[in-house]
This record gives sequence, C-alpha cells and structure tokens, in this order.
Amino acid sequence: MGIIEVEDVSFTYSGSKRPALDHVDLSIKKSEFVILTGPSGCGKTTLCRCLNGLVPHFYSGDFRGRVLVAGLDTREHEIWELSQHVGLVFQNPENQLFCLTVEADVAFGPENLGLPREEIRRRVEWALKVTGMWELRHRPPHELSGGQQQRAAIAAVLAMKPEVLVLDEPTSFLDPAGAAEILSLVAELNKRLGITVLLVEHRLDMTSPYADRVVVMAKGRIALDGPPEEVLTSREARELGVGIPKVIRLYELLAERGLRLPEVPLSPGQMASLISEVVRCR
Amino acid sequence: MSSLLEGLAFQKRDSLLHKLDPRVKLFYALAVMVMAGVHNKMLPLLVMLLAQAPLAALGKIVRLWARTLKASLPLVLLIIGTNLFFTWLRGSLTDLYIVEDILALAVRFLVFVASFSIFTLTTSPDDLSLALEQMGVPYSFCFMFRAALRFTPVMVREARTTMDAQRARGLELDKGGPIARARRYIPILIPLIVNAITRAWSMAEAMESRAWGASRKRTSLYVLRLRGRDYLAFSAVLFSLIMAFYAKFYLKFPYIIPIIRSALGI
Repeated sequence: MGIIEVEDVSFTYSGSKRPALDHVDLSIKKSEFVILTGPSGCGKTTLCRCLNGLVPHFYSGDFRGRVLVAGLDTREHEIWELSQHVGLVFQNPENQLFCLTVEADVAFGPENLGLPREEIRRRVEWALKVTGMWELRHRPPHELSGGQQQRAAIAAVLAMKPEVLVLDEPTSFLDPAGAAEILSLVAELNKRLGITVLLVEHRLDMTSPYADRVVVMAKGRIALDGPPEEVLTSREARELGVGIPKVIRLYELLAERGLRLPEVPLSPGQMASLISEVVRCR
Repeated sequence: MSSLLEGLAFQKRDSLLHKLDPRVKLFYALAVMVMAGVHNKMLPLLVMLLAQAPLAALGKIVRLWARTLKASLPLVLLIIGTNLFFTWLRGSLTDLYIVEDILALAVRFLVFVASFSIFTLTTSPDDLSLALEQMGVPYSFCFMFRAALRFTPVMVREARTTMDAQRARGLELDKGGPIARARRYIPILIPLIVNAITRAWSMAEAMESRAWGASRKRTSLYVLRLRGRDYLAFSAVLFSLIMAFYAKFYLKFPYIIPIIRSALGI
C-alpha cells in the first residue's frame, strides 16, 4: 500500500454547487516524486488540502470516499496528527512565516506539539541545515529574498518530520532563480532523504527531469497519470493546456521531420546527448 | 503619523539595553509611568525626561528616540492648547505659574512617550511576546500580538499598492473637503479589508498545518533567564521608583519660572 491512498474521493465546499473533487483515485508510493498539474481551478489545491486533513477538518463541505495517509484515515485524525506525516507548503511564502526570525518560525510547529526543548532544538537545527538556511536563521523573514523565504517555509514544515512533502505551487511567487533554487532543494530532499514529494507545478520545463510520475487533473478529476515521458507526449495533455516542456515539443518536431530520437528527453542536457548520439551514428 | 509608527518599530542593535531581559524593560516603562503619574510639577518631570536621554544613548537609539519624541509634538501642542483654552475659559489663567503647571502636563506626556519608546525600540517583539508568555499570558494572545507586528509593514505596503492602483484608475485622493476626501478612501479600504481577510485565511491554513493548538502544554524553544545585569537594572528602577515616591511626599519643588527669570535678569 502507498504512503498516500486517495480512494474515490469527492468533495464539494459548503456554499458551492460544483464538486471541487469528483471521484478522485490516487496512490503514491514511499519516496516517489510526483508532479501534479492541470489548469487553474481543476482541484489541485483541494486535493493537497485533503492530504493533511485541512479538508474536511478546516474546510467544511460534503466529503465522500477515504484518504489514508501513512495508514491513518484523515476523517478520524486531527490535522496536527496528520501534519506530522504530511507537510504542506503553500504558494505565498509571506503568509506562512509568522515570526520575526527564521529560527523562531521553524520552531513554531514542534513548539505547538509540546515536544521537549532539546528535541525542538535538534529538529530546528536539522531542518535549517538541510534547507541551507542555517546561516540566515536570525534574520527576519521580510529581509529575505522570495526563494529564501520559501526555503524557510520548507524548513518550518520539515521540522515536523513528515514523510511526505506536499508543495502547492511553491514557485509561483518567485523569480526564475528563486524557483530553480526551490526545485533543486525539493529534488535533493527527495533523493537524499527519501522524502516523498507531491509537487503542484506549472513550470514543467524545470521540474519534469526530477519526476517519477506526472498526474494531470481537469475539472476535479484525474485525467492522466503516468511517467513524464508518456504523459507529456500524449495528445490529451496538449489539449488540456498542460505546459509541455520545450524539449518535448522539440522532440516531437524533430520526429515530424523524420529524426526520431531513441528516448523522450526531459532536459536540454539529455536532449543534447541523444541528438549527438543519433548524428554520430549517421 | 508614519514616523511615530517608525519610532515604535524595533531594530536589531547590539547594546546593553537590547540585551536586558524584556521583563525588566517592561517594568522600567511602567515604573516611569507611575513616577510621572504621581508628580505634577515641572521640575521633577523635566528631570525624569532628561534622565532618559543617557539611557537612549546607552541603547544606541538616540536618533530614533528623538524622532519619536518629535513625532509626538502635535499631541503635546494639543494638550497644551486645550488646557490653556479651558483654564482661560474658567478665568483662572491669571499668572505664569499656572502656565508652568500646564506645560508640566505636556512634559509628563513626553515622559510617557520617552520611556515606552525606549522600551519598544530596544525590545524585539519576539522577546516581548516571550516575556508575556512567561508571565502567564495565554499563548494565543501573545501570538496575535506578534503576528500583528509582523504583518504591519506588509499591510502598509499593500495599502500603498492599492492607493497607486486606484490613482492609476483616476481616483483623486487629495481633492475636495474633508467628507468628500474621506469618501474617496472607500475604494482603498474595501480591497484592503478583503485582502486582509484572504491573508488571514491562508495564515490560518498554514498555522493549522503546523500543529497549531495540538498540545495544551506548548513548549517554547527560547527561555528568558534573569542574569546579574537584569537584577542590577531592576534594582536601579525600583530604587528610582521609591525615590520618586519619597520626593513626592517629603520634598517641595520650586517653580522654575523664578529661576529662569533671575538667570535672565528680568
């Protein structure tokens, strides 16, 4: 069984007529790196909220089906319990940092859990070091760049020691350099520490090389789910308006002109080596 | 107004005052308030005001401190003005000694501002909220206070953006009488309030996701401990407080007008 099991989940926010999620099934294995994408308003954020219990505990509405997180049914466990398994990072870093130093912010979660002070200190130090924020720990958040702020937000979530990191468009407020900074950090956390990642993202150019799987949502349903090479070359993905990486478009255009590469490239580097391989063979 | 707010904004500096325990500094601000409250003559109040200048220097905040005092001048003038007016209305504005007493009230107000700005300028809001927490104030209250301070600059920036955006749409903010002007601020206030509510929602979401309210006994990473210098500072403040009461009941302060007069030879 996967670390996250979403089983036939439908959810309608109270006051809304249209369901935000419509019979969603999704299973994520431990240490997997999954990208979730799809047009705005397709239910990505609502799905994220289901994973740590914000839906149905914080947002009320009509909830059907079942979500299991590390074996815990989200309907029967409180958000604070679930948040020790699933850490949620939001779009706007500013609204996730409440304290006047980075360190105090990272300590906020473990403090709320009432852990012993020594344990809090250990976790804070670990989270700050793993995200590269140790040197900046005494700085107030508003003095940091967007990328650094978002790194602080990730550190704050990591201090809760979750097995799963869910990031809801963490780069949408950042410039390209900040976005690259965050994405490579997330990839490293996945690779080095084995943290399971669900990343909601539109910038697939930067992220798809890291992903094991790409899931595309549309109108509250899962439309596509598979390895990036498969999903991103499908006609449905293009029709749904998924931001297909440029290397994949290039791969397709080359194929149309009769130059078929042996694999679907996900990064410019990979494409370059594939092309030079083909050219050398001729 | 903005510079008065600026005066309350904490800036990190390395000084003895910054290192003192926030509880001691809070005690200082309250003690000065009591001291200024029991006295109503010019001489002791003036002493209290001037005695705080070296403290500001010790905290390396003289310029900010002076700016706060300057920013409170309109209020000081208002206090002087209304007092003079009502005294005159009652027909008791007979001599300069009464004017001195009225001016003393204004100085008393300045003493309040001076002590509280020394307190806020040298105490980080995090420390203050920690102090309140350790004095038994419920954590949710401390958090509210801390978050308010954290988000004040954010809200100010947002207000400016909204004003610019509405100006770009042709809203003229500085035209017409006071009522017309106030009405023109509605298109600024409404988006600002809506934004604040949206922000509150996403903050609440982030707080919930980090185990807000999980445990009844919340641990705090930081602990305030009183050190030697804190006890020393505390004793000094306590001593001044006792002296102030002693002076109030056993000393009689002369008016300073005759002193100034004889000094100037008029």
